[in-house]
Amino acid sequence: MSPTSEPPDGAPDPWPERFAALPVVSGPAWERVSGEPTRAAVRRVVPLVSLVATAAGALWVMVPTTGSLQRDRGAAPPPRVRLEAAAEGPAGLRPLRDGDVVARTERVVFRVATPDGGTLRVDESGTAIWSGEIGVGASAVGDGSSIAWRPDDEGVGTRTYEATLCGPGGCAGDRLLLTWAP
Amino acid sequence: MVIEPTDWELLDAHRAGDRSAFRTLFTRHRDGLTTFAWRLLDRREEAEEVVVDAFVRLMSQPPQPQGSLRAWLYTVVHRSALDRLRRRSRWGRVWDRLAQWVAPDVASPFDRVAEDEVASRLARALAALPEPHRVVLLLFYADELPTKEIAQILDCDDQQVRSRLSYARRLLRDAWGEP
Repeated sequence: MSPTSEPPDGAPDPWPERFAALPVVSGPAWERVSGEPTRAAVRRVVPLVSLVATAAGALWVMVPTTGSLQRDRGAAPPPRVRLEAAAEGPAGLRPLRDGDVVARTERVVFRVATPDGGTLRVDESGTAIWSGEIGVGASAVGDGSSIAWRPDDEGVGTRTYEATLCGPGGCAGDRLLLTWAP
Repeated sequence: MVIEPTDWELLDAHRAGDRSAFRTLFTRHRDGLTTFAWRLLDRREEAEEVVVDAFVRLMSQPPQPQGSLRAWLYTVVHRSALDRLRRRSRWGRVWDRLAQWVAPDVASPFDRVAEDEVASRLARALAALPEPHRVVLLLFYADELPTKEIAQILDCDDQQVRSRLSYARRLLRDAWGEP
């Protein structure tokens, strides 16, 4: 019983044709994630499969074997991470971009997004201001608390905020430059 | 005439040691499941993860051979996707306010459809619907599953699926802009 064989409400149903226009995932595309192979998926599978010995071979067979995936069977690639920030002030939250200016009345909250997970450290101009484990996806650093603000006894100026995520394959980072205004 | 083995037959063959059976089963369903998850999660990589997790679960905790195995896979993927959406929601409200700035992890399933007027309009209309109604429409129209299987996936009966579909269709018509 497909939608086309059973028009709802007894009337010609326009929706099957409209839904058919939506994009779908298909074979070769499944092997890519926005230009990247399904590395995270493969790595997630590996430890799970080790618990299911009889199925291990099957999973390796079923996962597409592109060149990039074959690389994953050797040394793990470094994790990927993106650092985002928002300024929290009297007017609420506002997004920050690289090079933005932060007012003295604002504090900065950070979020990182990663498809890999690992140990994260956030540095402010070389000094660690937060570290801990994060999982796959987007995580509000420090549960979203403000972890950067301009101390009264320090001058204004530009500071570098750098997120470094380390996993089995090494470390990777992303950074933002923010300028604290007078 | 070639008779394709059923999903349950493939699972049985896999359990009996036929490795190619599992590959066939995976290939048969992965694209549909991934597309379904992608449309719910809006993140391709997460969609692929929940699909792989579903197949890992199929191997480690295979279901009893009753009903549709495809529906069982959709059930697992659907629940995993909802779990992920719930986990996102804690910080979603804050970060949604910054949505114009926060780029998605990967391309949205609807990013590619900007040049396709019908798909683009439908994507916008679907995005305006509550999740349960969007899901039932996607399962029925996009995945073309019979209402009996949708009932299995959504853990309700066939009649409930039909009435939910009817209501969801009305919502979609409104969101689409039809009189």
